[in-house]
Amino acid sequence: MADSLGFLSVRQHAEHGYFGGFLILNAMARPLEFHCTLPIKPSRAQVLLYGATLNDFVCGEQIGQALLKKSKQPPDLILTDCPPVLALNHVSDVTTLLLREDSARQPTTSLTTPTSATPTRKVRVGDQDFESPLDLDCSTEVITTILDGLASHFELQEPFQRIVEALMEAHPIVRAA
Amino acid sequence: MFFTRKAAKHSGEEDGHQFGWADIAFHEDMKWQSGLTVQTHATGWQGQLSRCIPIESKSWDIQNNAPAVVPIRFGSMPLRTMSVFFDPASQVPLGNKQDPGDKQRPKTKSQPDRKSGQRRTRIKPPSDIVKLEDRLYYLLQPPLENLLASAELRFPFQPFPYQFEGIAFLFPRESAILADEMGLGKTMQAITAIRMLLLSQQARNILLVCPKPLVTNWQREFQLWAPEIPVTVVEGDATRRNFIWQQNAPVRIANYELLMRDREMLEDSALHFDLVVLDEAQRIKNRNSTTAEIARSLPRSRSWALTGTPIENSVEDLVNIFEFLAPGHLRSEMNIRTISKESRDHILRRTKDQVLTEMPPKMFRDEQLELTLGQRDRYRAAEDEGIVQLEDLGETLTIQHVFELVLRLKQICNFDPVSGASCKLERLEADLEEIAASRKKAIVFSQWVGTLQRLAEPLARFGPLQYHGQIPSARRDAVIQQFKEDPSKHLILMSYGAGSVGLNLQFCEYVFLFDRWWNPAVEDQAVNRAHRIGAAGPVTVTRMMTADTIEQRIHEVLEEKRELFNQLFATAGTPRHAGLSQDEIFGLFNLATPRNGKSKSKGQAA
Repeated sequence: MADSLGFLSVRQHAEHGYFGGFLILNAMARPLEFHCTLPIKPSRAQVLLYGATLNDFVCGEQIGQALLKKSKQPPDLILTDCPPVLALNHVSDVTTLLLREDSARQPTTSLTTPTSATPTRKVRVGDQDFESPLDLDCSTEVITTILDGLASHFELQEPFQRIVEALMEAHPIVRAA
Repeated sequence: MFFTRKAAKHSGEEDGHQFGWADIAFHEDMKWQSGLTVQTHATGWQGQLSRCIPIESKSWDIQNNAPAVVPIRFGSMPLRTMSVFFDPASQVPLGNKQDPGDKQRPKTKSQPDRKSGQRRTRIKPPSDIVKLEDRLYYLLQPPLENLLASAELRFPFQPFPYQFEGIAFLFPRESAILADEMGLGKTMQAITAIRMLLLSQQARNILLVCPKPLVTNWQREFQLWAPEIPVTVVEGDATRRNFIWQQNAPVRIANYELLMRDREMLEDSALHFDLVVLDEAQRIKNRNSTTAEIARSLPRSRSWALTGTPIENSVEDLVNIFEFLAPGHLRSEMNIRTISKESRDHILRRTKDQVLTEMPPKMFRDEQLELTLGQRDRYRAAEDEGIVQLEDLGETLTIQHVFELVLRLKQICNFDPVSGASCKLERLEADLEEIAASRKKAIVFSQWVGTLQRLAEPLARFGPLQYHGQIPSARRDAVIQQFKEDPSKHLILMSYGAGSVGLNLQFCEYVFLFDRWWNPAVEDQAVNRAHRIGAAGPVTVTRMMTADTIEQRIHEVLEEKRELFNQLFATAGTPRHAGLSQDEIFGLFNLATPRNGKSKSKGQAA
């Protein structure tokens, strides 16, 4: 049975920059910890020099790593709906997988999901498709074991909605669509 | 003027001077169009041009001079974070056990379905919770359906989605009114929210107050929806009741009358309730009543009110219920808009029309009919004479006297007592022609059996059946069966009393209210015989009333109330029991309410 499962999401606001939220749930989908960042904006120099890899740097290496460091109980696996967060794999030992967001379920907000130019590969576990960086050596057996430990009603997409709502609650400035 | 120019460069030798590299002199020959040539010479600055320019030379060693470098370092970005940690002992766990079925369930490829997009109800923090951590506490909880599915909670029936919303509304609120229309399951929603509070240990001591006849119903509902919760009914003699009040019990049920008897007992004890729920909370709409005073004095942390009619007569009713929920939050002097805004977060009201979306539409048609000449004469005479008689009664005037006059006038609106003429009958016949031609069926409601019997003869060609108090009970089922199956029977004549409840006539698409009941709720129940789940199609309801008569005045008063209700709750629902108050009944004839008049509404009496 999984002790905990992390859900990490980063959203971008045109004016205020990047917002990150990290929700750690137990196997029953109940919250254990929640961490979020204040908005950050990369400098002009960072925008120019990181180019296409800027989102990976900001979302994965900076926000993702900072949020993960805040957790008291680092989870066994982190899921994200934000492709650049996969860069967290390069700076952390905890495996991070991408679960593509269900666009039909996305609430209408002024927050968008940053994109990534880094290629990924598909990882199929049961009937669930994940994505990982090409160079990540992740064992589907381990992931299967973790997911099997979750309660049957645990929906993997659902916690991201909680994160977005919590981000908007914590940062009312981004609430207007 | 146009001219051409010709520049000439002169050498020093020509002018007899010694020049350097810049020794340049020139003149221009400008030829005017007239043929005149003018020579111009540069003067004044030629001396500067003739000076030698001092030139110094320097050399740089490019190979050894490295360019300056400005370092731009990309370390960690200045990130500030905020954290919330959830104490497993105090969150909304509802038990932390994994679904026992999970362990027994084989781990097959298709199971469990983690992608199912079923409806999810989220618990939203109420607006009066200000602290961000507290708001996030609710926002970060899983959907209510998941919470309930993961706990040891079982339901005898799957709740409707709107019921989940009601539970999610009540659960986080310290002051709330659940004002759903009657029949939508306020009881179940309250019990489940109570269940969640108890299981999450946010409440340990709950008091539910209801009218005495409903105590057993609440017991039964608790047994059905939350069998694991021990429920104690406060009853028996004073000694026993005192014992019950002193005991620790998760849920106690008391009736309003008993609460008044035990007032001192409650005041003397150190009891504090985590939650007090008032069922049929309109009982405290009168601020000065003993019931309201006692309810307000109960020591408690949370206050919930359940009522289908938060407003029966005026906004004051709602203000007074709020005195129990959140004293001072609403004030009588506030305008409707402010009251609506201020109460919005505390009230949840749904009607059947809103939540039972599978129902076909219900269309109302108000027919304003002109009395026939004979009816008009008889009506005026009766009204004038009646008002004079009422005024003559002076202080002995009672509400009953007014009722008698109202009923007399309403009967004249139905039929001319002399000639038998009826503007309503004329209109009804015309409509029924069309209904019968399209092979549809209709129900005609009246409050008088005599009126129904009188209608039967002129409407004989539509095959009318009768269903009222003079039809023996044993025959009534056969009447309904015949109406349903016999294609020649297009019409059933029903009294409000006999036909307004318990019948399923959803094969009828037309309902006529030949005369109007005092109370819209009774009319709604009558209409709902046809407009109910399973209805074949849209139901057209024709409300007949005669212009410039008592019928129109009653209609206007009731519509004002409906409008007031709609303004406050932004719904199209009908306030249950929103009948006429005593003042309004006297006001129908511009009579002042006598000082000895009893405060009672016709709607409640009816």
